[in-house]
Order: sequence, then C-alpha cells, then structure tokens
Amino acid sequence: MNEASQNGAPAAPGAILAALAGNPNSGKTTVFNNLTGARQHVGNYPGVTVEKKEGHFRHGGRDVHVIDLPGTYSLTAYTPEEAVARNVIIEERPAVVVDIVDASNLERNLYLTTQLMELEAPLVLVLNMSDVARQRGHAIDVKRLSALFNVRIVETVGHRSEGMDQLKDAILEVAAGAAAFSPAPLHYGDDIERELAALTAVVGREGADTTTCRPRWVALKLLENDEVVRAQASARMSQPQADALMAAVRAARDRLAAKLGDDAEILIADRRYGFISGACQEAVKTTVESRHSTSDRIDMVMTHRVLSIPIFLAMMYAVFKLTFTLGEPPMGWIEALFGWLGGVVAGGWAPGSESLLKSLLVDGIIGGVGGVIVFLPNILLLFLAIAILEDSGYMARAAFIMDRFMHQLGLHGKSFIPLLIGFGCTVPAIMATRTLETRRDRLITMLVAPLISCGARLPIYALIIPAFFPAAWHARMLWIIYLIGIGLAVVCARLLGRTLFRGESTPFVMELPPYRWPTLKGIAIHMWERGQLYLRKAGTIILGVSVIMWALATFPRKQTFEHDHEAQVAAVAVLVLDDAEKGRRVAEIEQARQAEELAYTIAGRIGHALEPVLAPLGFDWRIGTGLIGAFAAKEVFVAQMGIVFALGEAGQDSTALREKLRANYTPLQAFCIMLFCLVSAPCMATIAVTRRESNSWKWALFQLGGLTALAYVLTLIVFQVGCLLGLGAR
Amino acid sequence: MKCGPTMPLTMLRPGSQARVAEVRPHGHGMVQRLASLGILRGTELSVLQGDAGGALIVRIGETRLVLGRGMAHRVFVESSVS
Repeated sequence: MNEASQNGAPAAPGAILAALAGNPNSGKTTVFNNLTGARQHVGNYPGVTVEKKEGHFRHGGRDVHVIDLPGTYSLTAYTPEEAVARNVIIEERPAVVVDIVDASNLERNLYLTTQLMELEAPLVLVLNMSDVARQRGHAIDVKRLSALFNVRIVETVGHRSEGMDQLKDAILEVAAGAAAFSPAPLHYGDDIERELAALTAVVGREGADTTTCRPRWVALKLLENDEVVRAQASARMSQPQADALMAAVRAARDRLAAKLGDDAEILIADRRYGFISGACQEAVKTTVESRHSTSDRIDMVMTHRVLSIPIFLAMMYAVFKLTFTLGEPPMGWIEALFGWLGGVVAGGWAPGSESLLKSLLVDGIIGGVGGVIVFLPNILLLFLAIAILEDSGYMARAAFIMDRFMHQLGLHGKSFIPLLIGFGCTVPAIMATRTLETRRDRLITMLVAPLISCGARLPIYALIIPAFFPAAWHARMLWIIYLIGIGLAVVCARLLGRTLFRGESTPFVMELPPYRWPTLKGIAIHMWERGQLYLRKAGTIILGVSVIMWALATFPRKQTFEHDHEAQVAAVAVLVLDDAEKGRRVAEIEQARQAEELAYTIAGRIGHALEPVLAPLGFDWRIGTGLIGAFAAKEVFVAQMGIVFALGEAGQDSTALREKLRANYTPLQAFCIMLFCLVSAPCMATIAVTRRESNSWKWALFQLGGLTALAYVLTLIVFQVGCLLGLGAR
Repeated sequence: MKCGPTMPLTMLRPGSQARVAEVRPHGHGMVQRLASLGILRGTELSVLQGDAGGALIVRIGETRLVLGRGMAHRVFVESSVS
C-alpha cells in the first residue's frame, strides 16, 4: 500500500470510489471504521466547515477509496452537511453510494434512500443494526425490499463487524456494474409526473447545465424550490432563458398548488413517504407492537419535568470533580518531566558559559510548551467525560433540559454543548458550534464561548487566589470567577441576539438517539479528536509564540547597568557571613539584575508604554507584560509574571512568586487581574479558529476587540468603585 | 378513532397522541426538514415529555425528536382519542 492511499487522499489510480451516506445515528461511522480500520484521513471540505473523512481498503484485488459523507436526513441544500453530501455524489461521481440505514427505524431512514435513488446513483443499501430490528420484532424480507427498491441490499451489525465482507463484495459488484440493479426515480403520481416531464423538457431545451446531473433531477429540484439548483441552472443560461425556465417552474408550482392544495415540496415529500410505507408494508412484518422502549423508560426519569434538573446538575458536578481530581497526579508527572527536561538541557552548558541558545531552549521553548502540556490531563479527562455523555446519548437529553435556559439567551439547547466543551478549551468549543444549524446561532455561540473559563485560565486563578485570599475563600473565589464568566456569556448572548443578530432563534429539532453503552474505541476516538486540537495548539502556536515572547523579554540586551551588580556580588563574597546568607544575598542581586534587564527589553518597554492605559485598572507595567503573554495563551501570564518578578522558572505553585505578588499588589488588584484575564482578548488560537469557523476576519476581530473593550470597562469599574469603597488598601 | 379540532402541538399534554394535520411553513426549508425527520401531514405521534415553556420530546414510530417550542407551535395536530 502506498503512502498516499494510507493517508486516505488522494485515491490511488484505478481505485474504486465509494461514498457512505446515511442518517446521523445510523451507525455509519462504525461501518466506516470497520471498513477502513485505521487508514483514515480527516480534513475539511473546501469553503465550508464540514468534516471530510476518507479512508481506504483493499478487497478482492481491488483498491477502494471510501468517502464518509456527513450524516444527513435528506439531500436538500438547507444545511451545509446536506449540500456537501449532495455535491460529492453529483460532482465526484462515486462508483458506488453505500446508503447505511438503521434497520430498526426503517421508514424514516429510507427517506434519504429515495433521494439517492432520484440522483440515480449506483446504490448499495446497508440494513445496519439488523439485530436490534429483530429484537424489536421487525422481520424484514430482504429479497422483497430489494425488489421493491431495485437495489442491492446487505445486512450488517456494525458494532459486531458482522456483514462487512458481504458489504465489500457488494461494493465491488455494483462498481463493476455486474449487479442487475439500477435504482430508478420514484413515480410521483400523474399530476406531478406531468409537470415534471414538461419541466424536464424545458430544462433540456433552455440549456441548463446537465453535464453532471440528469434533467429530470434538475426539474424535480426546481419544482421543490431548491435555491442552489435554481442558481446553478440559471448560471449557464442567458437571462431570457433563465426567466423562461423560472416562469415555467412558477407556473407548474401554481398549477399543483391549485389542484392538490399544497406546495410542491410537501406533495413530493408525501409521495416519497407514500412509496416507503407501501414498500415497508409489503416487506416488513412487525410481530411485536412497538411501545415504550427501555430508552423511553430511562427518559421518563432523565428528562422528567422536575427530576431532570438535579440529575443534570449532579452529572455536571461529577464531570468537573472527575476532571480535576483525577487530573492532578498526571499533571504533577508532566510538570516533573518538563522540569527534568529543562534541567538536562541546561546541564549541557557549563556554569558561567550560559548562552542565548540555552535561554531560548530552557526558558522559551521547554518552559512555554511545558506550561501548556501540563493541562493536557485535565483537558483530556473533560473531553473523555463529554465523549461518554455524547456516545451514551445523554448529551442530547442535556440539550433538551437546557433548552429552556438557553432560550433565555436567545439560543436553543444545542448551543449548550459547545459551551460545556469550552470549560476544557475554547478551540474545540468553537469547532463544536458546527452542530448548530444556523449562522446566527453559530456566531453568537462562537462569540461568547471565550467567556466560559477554559482550562488555560485556571493556572492564573490558581496562582493568584491563594496569594491574596484566606483559605476558606479559595474555592468560593474560584466559583465566583467561573460564575462571572457564565453570567457575562449570558448577558452578551442576549445582547448580541437583540442587536447584531436580530430575529427569533431558529426552529429547534434534534433527534434523540436511544441510550447506548458507549464503546471504548468510540470514546477514545472522540476524546482524541478534540484533545489533539489542544496538543496541536501547543505544538504550533504556543511553540512559535513562546519563542517570540522569549525574544521580546530578552532583547535588546542591556550592556551597561545602573548598578554594578558584579561589584555587589564581589562585595558580598568578602563579607563575614555564613554561606546560606551569602547565597541568599547573591540571589537577590541576581534578581535585581534580571528585573533591570527585563525593564530594558521590548516586553518591558511595551509594559511601560501601556502603563498609562492600564493604571486606571490598577495594573502596573509588570502586569502589562504578563497580559501581552496572556494573549499568546492565557497560561503564559503565569510564566511571564515569574520572569517579571525575576524568579526564573515559576509554576503556579511557586510560593516565592505569591509572596512577591502579595508584597506588590492588593487583593482588589488581584481580583482585577483575574477579571481582566477572564474576559479580555481570547488567546490567539481562539482568534484563529473563530476566523476559520466563521469564515471571516470580521468576526474574529470583533470578538477580539469587543471582549477586550468589555474587559477594560468592567475592570475599570470594579477597580475604581473598589477604591472608592476603600477596598484598595493593603 | 375520533378526530378532534386541530391545535398546535404545544397544546398537547405529555402522554397524549395525535396526528399531524398541517405543518405551517416558517422560513425556507422547514417543512422539508421536518419531513426528512418524519413529521409531515398524517404522521401519528405522541408527546413523551414537555411542559409549558420548554421543548417537547415527541415519539414518531422508532424516532424520538426534541422539538423546540417555536417549531412545535407550527405543527398543527388533531388529537386522536383512541
């Protein structure tokens, strides 16, 4: 197998192209994983933020390249997923379209099948979860169904990998054109068929682009008022031709509405379901009357009007408790690992011969990246918990439970999921807004997501809270900060919904998948997909920024000092003191030298330049330099304060740094630092991902500017009011 | 089975069954979207959960859907008293 095909793209020459289509929750991903194993490649479709999964397998001497289309219920152009699925089938012309159908929920799933038949794609129909169907008392006459749909059918049980070889055989057969099946478009009844035939003729005559799709399909979509097809059809025509075609479409729709009393798209949907229920009556025997399932009985409690709320809160509490309790030991190990690494690298230089390179490697790269990787256990654990909630089906219930609350924000329940992920890391949170259907909801959720306190802000709180507040208040202060973030997200979402994004929240529909035991493999894949985003951030942005920040805090180098530190050290050396005291004094002098050096560097100068702006917030130049670091990545603030206070390496547990902070600032200032870090400028990775997901710099910069302005105003008010109330005193 | 007058889905109490009489369009594609999920004229459904103010959980055959209030307001049903 060559390298290219292992990565999934591009397909090896001569490979068969197969596309997997199917409803969400039909087990499509499991079938894809079974077919392709680990030979997968995940990317994005150009121009839209829809995931493109590709893979590869070899069977019967042939290479098969598999595209996993996004899960859809239909093939209209109203959601990006559906548009993408449709375009792949039309434009890439796969040799086989494998339609994966949940056999235990046949009628609803076959709706997509009828639309694939309309596209006249070479189909293999997969009846997945056929075991569940049998348990529920559905006996499917596969032969009969196959004849009715005129399509090759394979039965599988995805999670037990049953039927995969038969499926691979079927793919090869259909691709070779050997199978005697050619799915034909449905018959929509005489009235619609008459209009369709007439429109098909007009489409052909007016020269619409029919190189990629058949005129009948174009006519059907025009009749259904499909905007994308309408635009595409007109694009190749002259204005009069397009006008003639659209006039014909309008006339046809009007005639149907007058005669059958409904819009054409409703009539066509009716016919599709009519065909499906007719076929199912013939081919499916249901012996057990389907009543409330186990899933429904669980839901009686989980979504109960009263009980659901305490259960939900308990779940969330468990998630966070787990994340922070289990995360602590591995965090210690990683910290130790990076400390050791720094020591080993630093050991490469003899004392006294320290070079710039050593400083770059130890302080810049290892310190910077290590500071971020430390939070990986926390973040992976949170994503693990979220993956379990998602794969078990509870997350969809949480969206239902939270709907009423989210409604107050002008959003609906689904927006809750990205915000929850935001407690781990804002970057995957913003990526999770992909599940929201409209641009309005996506943008609002994306813009307020940074207000949810992410894992990277925790070290700032962890440094500051113990330094300034009594032990009894530690947990409470942390809660207050988190709640301020949530509260601000609520206010901002409402504000945005009433100003920039007017209009009612989009209609909310979502399928509730039945409860399932999550599989280890599924959870691992799910957790990793999000965790790697965080790791990639550490490997790319933070690595680069660490180097830049290091340079800013190193150059220009001060050559002549105000105090002659070396002379001072020499003076200490001749004093009559014990060695410990001498060491302490030398260290103090060294710190003073480093502080003087830092004030001279670019970072120090920027900090000084910012001082007049930051002074009303109670911040001095040292905090200013820390805030510049925080823009790179929030957690850099802690490292930066360590450098500024000339303590060298400073983790958030550094008691020496806390003492320094306590000596220099008041609790009010400390609170203002946390407030500012919480609200202000989201980190660069967030800005970058917002740009990508919103497809515009405008929103990314709006997020940056808006949140920074908000942080400034809020901190200004808190500090000034605090001072007036006399809280500014030490 | 007797058919009552039509009313929005939001008026149904949890546990009651109904047949969809009409889906009133709201914006582009909503009717088609609901159809693709199995809600269209003639669909038999029952309300599993839902109380004033929030979303509803609706059962259609083997499908369970959460319908937001805005959506549920536009689905008109005739309650079927069996």
